[in-house]
Amino acid sequence: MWLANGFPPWSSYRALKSGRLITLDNNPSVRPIGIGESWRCLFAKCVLAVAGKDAADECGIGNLSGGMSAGIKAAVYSANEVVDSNYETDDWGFILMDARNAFNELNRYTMLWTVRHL
Amino acid sequence: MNSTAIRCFGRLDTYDIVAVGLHSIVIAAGPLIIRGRAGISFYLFSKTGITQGCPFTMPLYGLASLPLIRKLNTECKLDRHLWYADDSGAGATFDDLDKYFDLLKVHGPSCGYTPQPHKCILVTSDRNLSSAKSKFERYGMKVVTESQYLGGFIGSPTLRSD
Repeated sequence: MWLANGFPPWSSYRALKSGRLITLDNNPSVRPIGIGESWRCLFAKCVLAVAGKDAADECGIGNLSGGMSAGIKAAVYSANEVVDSNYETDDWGFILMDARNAFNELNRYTMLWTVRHL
Repeated sequence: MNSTAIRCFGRLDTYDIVAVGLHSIVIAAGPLIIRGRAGISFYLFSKTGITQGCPFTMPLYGLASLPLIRKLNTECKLDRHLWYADDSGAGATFDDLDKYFDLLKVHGPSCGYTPQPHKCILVTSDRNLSSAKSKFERYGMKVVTESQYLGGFIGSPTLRSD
């Protein structure tokens, strides 16, 4: 409520948004893992409790990470089903895409604008 | 989306507290602290994309990727088009997959999705392997008959049952 109803000092945002960063050895590189503060996790869980179902409904089968339960399992089964039925078809394949640093290249303002106007 | 909290940015109603708070929690650059030796800490500021450690970021990323997914769905003829977070997969004929890849290269970067061809994998059957290689290896893609996908397996049905 404090964040929503006023203009708190920057230090409060910093405190809420801070997190610990640990590194895992991903030989030869390093895999950074962020662990958010408890207040931030609590806040996010509150938002999800209110809006999570609508987010899952909107994502639907478009992006299975939007809150659908067992989304990974659904993706794997769905991919296997279509591969099984088309495996012997001429000139048919299943492509697995990989993007460069996708989570970090997303623009935050664009992201919020998109969510607002869906 | 109907009557959702995340749709209510800038609108004063019951979800006002959640909406403004969400705006601040997403936009503000959070410090990520790395503990060093002898009490020395290093700070990194997460200023772009989604921040690790926040449970809300995954649904938010899912929602933000929807315009790109819908555009690809309408412009390409795909037998199956699957996304789980930033992992995408599509099953179609080689010509349609070629078009899909080209469109993703054109429209993806503006949505923060820049494909890396040398990390992309095309799964196809043995009999289609040579034609697939002639078509997709020029991008630097790997062409294989089986592969891992989201912890599962994709490839020959007989091989999977084994």
